[in-house]
Amino acid sequence: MRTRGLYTAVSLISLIVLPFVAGDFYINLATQVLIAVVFSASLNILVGYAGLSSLGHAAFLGFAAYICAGTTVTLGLPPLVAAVLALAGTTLLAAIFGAIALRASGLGFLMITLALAQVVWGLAYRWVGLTNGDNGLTGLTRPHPFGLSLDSPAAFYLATLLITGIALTVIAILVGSAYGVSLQGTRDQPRRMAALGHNVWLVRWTAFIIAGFWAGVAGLLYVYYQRYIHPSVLSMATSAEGLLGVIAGGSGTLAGPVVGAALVVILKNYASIYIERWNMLLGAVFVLIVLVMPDGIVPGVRRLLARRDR
Amino acid sequence: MATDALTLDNVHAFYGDSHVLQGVSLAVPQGQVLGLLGRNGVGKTTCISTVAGMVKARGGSIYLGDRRIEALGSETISRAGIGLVPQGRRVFPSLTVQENLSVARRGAKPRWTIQTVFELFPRLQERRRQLAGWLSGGEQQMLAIGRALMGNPTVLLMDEPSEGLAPLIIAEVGRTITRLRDEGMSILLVEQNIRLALELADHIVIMSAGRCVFSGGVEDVRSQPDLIETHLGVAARRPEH
Repeated sequence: MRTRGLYTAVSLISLIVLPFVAGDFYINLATQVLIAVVFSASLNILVGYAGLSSLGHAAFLGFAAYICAGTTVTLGLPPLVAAVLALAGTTLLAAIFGAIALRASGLGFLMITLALAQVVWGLAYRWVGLTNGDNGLTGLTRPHPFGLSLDSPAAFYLATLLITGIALTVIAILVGSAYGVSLQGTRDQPRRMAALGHNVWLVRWTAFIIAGFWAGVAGLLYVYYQRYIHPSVLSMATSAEGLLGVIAGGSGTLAGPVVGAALVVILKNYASIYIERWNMLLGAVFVLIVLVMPDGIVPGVRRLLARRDR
Repeated sequence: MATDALTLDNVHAFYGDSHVLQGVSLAVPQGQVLGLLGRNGVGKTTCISTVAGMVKARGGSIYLGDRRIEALGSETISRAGIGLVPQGRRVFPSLTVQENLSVARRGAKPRWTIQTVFELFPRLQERRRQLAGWLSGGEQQMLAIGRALMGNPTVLLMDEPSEGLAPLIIAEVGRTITRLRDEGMSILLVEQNIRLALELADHIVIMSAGRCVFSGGVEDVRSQPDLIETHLGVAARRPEH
């Protein structure tokens, strides 16, 4: 327990110190990792704790990003109002999509989430009057909360780190709460949970909404980081990358999406420098992880450490 | 006459086209144990699953006290006061003992809390932080009973609680059932262990091919060895030498 606390403290200090010692490239890379962590952690609520695999989670990330960019650039709303509207809109969208997708389970659920996300992607591409189509929305400036400028990579990184910390803490509290336990119960034995008096559909629907909300938070971070939004963000590839992060890191664990998302983002950024078809490398790494550690990196490493200590 | 705790009246249930329950009628009196016996495959577990709402009755009626429940969903039936101890325990293996209990917690001023369940089964308290999947069969059975009690039911459905357990643990489960009955719990007990069922039950119903073929007191069953041999497939008499 003491060693774990020590590791956490060292990691936290390293993350805080990073922008003061690293160059802009690495600070920006770390920011991208943190955004991917929030996105994968939100998806992990569904995949890992509710047992519902979704291929449409990017819809919420992109929807929040579009609302934020659209209301700020087109309507000229202040950043705080835009952020609140984006999160409220995304949560509402998650409630609607959840109500539709949860009519099925398993493969059916997966395909419905994919189909719904493709609808949002299609709208972003084709509704040019609203979304500016393939050109995307530009002209967004980063907010200045409490008079602090987030324009520099270091300042934006620290703000993202703070929000990621809040997101992971809230998600950790959620999955450890009575609700989180009942969510895991619906994942393992839904019929049994119903026989214990739980409304399984409601538990899952709530999880879908919560996951959508945090994906919306990731979307806000993303759009303020890029200062630009394009329909490709809503594509299946973004959803699949998030899912890859969850599965590679270890679904149903708090640290899994952190490790998995970091791996995906770092591989994507580094590999694309050297290899044109970096997707192939990402796929090969994923296959290797599945072969060596079928439960993901975090549970796999834990098992190795437990074996070593025995 | 006082209303029975649980009443099944001419209940029919199907698995696909297979007509499993063919007009089952039985009643669990308040604060008593009704033993439901029969060979494998006669519909005992289906009967319990139908009461719990996990299999939908296609005919007949089920009453919990005065409330008709056969059309309700299983979560509503559970909230109405039916607790289920399923066959094979079915605890949540990836949750701890305490989490398995807390997930079933219900009621504002409940008779059963995690603490009172731990008083009933002190062994669970010792293992409260352990994952339920790592418990022994007996401990899992205690957890399954504790989990059902956490919903503070008025009627407890117990499906083969002695299955696969060591004799000492069976005796402990038996003592628990008696204690619960003495505290006023109404229990529908499905058992393959005839001796245990006859020891614990106040009334016996025997099922055969989806129907109730006998209903009576424990002594009536004991006094009719042919009944046991015919419908339960066990020799009630010692072989003569």
